[in-house]
Amino acid sequence: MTSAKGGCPRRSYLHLLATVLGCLPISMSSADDAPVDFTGIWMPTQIGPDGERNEVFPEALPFLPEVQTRNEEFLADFKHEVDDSRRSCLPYGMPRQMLTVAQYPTEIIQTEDRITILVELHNDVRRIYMDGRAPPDGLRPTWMGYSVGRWEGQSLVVTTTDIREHGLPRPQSRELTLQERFTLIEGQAGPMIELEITHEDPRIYSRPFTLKTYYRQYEGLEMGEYFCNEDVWRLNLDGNPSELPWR
Amino acid sequence: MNAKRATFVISTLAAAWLIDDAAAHHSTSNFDSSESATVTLTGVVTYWNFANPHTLIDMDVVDDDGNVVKYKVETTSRVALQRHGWRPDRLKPGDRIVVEASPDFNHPTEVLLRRIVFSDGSEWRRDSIPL
Repeated sequence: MTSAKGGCPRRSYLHLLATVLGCLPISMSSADDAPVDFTGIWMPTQIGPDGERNEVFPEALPFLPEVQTRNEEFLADFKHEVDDSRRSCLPYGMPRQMLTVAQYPTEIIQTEDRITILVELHNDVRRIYMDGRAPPDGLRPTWMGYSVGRWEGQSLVVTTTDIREHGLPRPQSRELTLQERFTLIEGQAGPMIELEITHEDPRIYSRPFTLKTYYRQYEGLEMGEYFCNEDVWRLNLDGNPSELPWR
Repeated sequence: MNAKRATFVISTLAAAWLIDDAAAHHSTSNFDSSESATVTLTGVVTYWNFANPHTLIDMDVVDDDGNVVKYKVETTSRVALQRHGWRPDRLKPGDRIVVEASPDFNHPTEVLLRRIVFSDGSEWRRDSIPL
């Protein structure tokens, strides 16, 4: 059986066919085979391809009733100074990392067997494996999860599992599975990525639901450096004067 | 606290960025983003920290009684502001500035910047960042 990474089948009833046709890799995407190349620097935007405001979040998410109740209680008693873990400069993680607003760009680097996404906000990195692998068993959940991708026509479809659970900004459990669909489209302002993210989390939600957001390009846009805890040490641009012996 | 030399401005700025909790490193929901709560502060920069995740401007405002009230003005990250023309020399202690901002619900001298007029008369609006 041909491995997911390619190679000649052995002792297979397909041997003759493979001999004639050559060794054909299956379930392996490569940059050369990819129907679309997303490589570039993209800025998330709340303006859709038609120039109109795109509301990413619906008014109400389909929480399970018991989760809805407990979430409301949690938020009613929430104290930013004590309870807001987002102040700790930890990553946003998935899916929030892909649902940010138009201040922090994302760089997509598409190579033969991997698509790497660099996110300026918190200097974070996602890796999407395109070689047909399945996520390893027993992974410790991570902020970005484990992502595997494939091509469906002109769209990149990515499945992400093994994501850390959160309470903020929206509850998500370890059972969360995300499926993203990246599609290159043409908007009023030029090329755009339409990103649909389907959430399936039976511990939190009564049904799967899909959010849609967009990314666009700007001429001259570059990625910057973002270490969110700089101001804790008043590092600013010049370093902490008290630790610079020549100051 | 005595009345400050501040005016409440009815702003027509779209405040969607204040609602979206993904807009900041941490939530900005501690600031009163209602237009009626917007304050206008005229004062002098005493310190500013051009940094990630938030740029902070300390300014002294003289209230109606002649008392100096110290405000902390928060705005977005250095990396984002740089893309909109801010540089390390954009502000310096001693600069006289005008700020329109949303006050913290519990700490009214901590405010979230909506608009600033620099000492050279130029201005920058938070909603100038494209959505």
